[in-house]
Order: sequence, then structure tokens, then C-alpha cells
Amino acid sequence: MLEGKAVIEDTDMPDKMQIQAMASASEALDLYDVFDCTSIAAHIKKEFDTKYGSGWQCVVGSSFGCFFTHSKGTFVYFTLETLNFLIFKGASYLI
Amino acid sequence: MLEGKAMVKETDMSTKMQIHAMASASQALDLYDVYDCISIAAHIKKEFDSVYGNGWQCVVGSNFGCYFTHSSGTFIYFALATLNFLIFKGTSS
Repeated sequence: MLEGKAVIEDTDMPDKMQIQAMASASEALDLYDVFDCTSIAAHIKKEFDTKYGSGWQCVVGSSFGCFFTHSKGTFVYFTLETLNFLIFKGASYLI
Repeated sequence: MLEGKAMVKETDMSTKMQIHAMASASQALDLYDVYDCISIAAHIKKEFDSVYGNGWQCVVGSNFGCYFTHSSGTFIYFALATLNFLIFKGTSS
């Protein structure tokens, strides 16, 4: 399956990390059905926990809104195929 | 607007906190339109940050899946009206 190019809606991540996020999403869509949002999110979150330290959160879906506090430089929101992807590292304190 | 009773799908929160979560959601639905998921989520998250300390995350919508790590005793997922609500305190370590 060849996905179309992902469209970044909003981010404060460095470019390299953005590319990793979109690659993980694309990889997850190859592995799982488009309706299995939780497995797709799990795949991405686990990869980010492995590469960039623990504490990452990932939301995948076609209809959601959320409000959160994230660590600096760790937020990306993009669209790929019919799904929206939100990846961030949660912060438990404001700095 | 009188919402139906919220249905808790999964949680590891204390009962008191659960009730607070559902009350916040109900209050948010009175204040905002059902399509304004972000304002609804913001209302709930801000209240939880105020009452229980910083670090809360809230996802609201009719179609989403996510995967996350949360602090112990701070997770609830429930349905109210046409929306699903996920509230948790993320762990950053």
C-alpha cells in the first residue's frame, strides 16, 4: 500500500522527528487496518518511546478533539489518508 | 440540556474522581456545542489541572483510538451523549 503524502497541520517538532512520525504512521497503516486506530496509535507510540524516551502519547482517528500540555518540541499533528494523527510527549509540570 | 447517564467503559480512578470527571463533561456539554470537541476537552482538562495538579490530558470525539502511558489511578474512559471521553494524567518519565 502506498500512502499519499502526509499533510502536517501543526507542529513544534524538529524536522527529523517529524519525518520519523510520518514514517511510523505510514508503517502502521501497512501493518494494521485503517479502522484499528488503537493498534496504529500503539505502534507509533511504542516506536517513539523506544527512540526518544518514554512518556509519548498518540491519538489516531477521524473525529476527535483534545486539549493537553506537552513537553517543548515534541508535538505534531498531521493527516495521512483518512486519519488524523496526534503525537506528543506529555508533561506533568509546566516549565 | 439534560444528558443521559454517563457510561464508564474503563477506569482505574477513585469513585470520587470518576464522578468529578463525568460532572465536568456534563458541564462542558452545557457550555459548548457537541461538535466543539476541543473546547469541551479544554474545559475538562483545565478543571482537572486545577483540582488535581498539572499534567492532565483529555481526548473527546466520536471516532478515535489512542495509546498512552498514564500515572496510576488517573485514567477514565466513558461515553456521554454522542461522545466518548478519555481523561488521564500522562507520565513524562
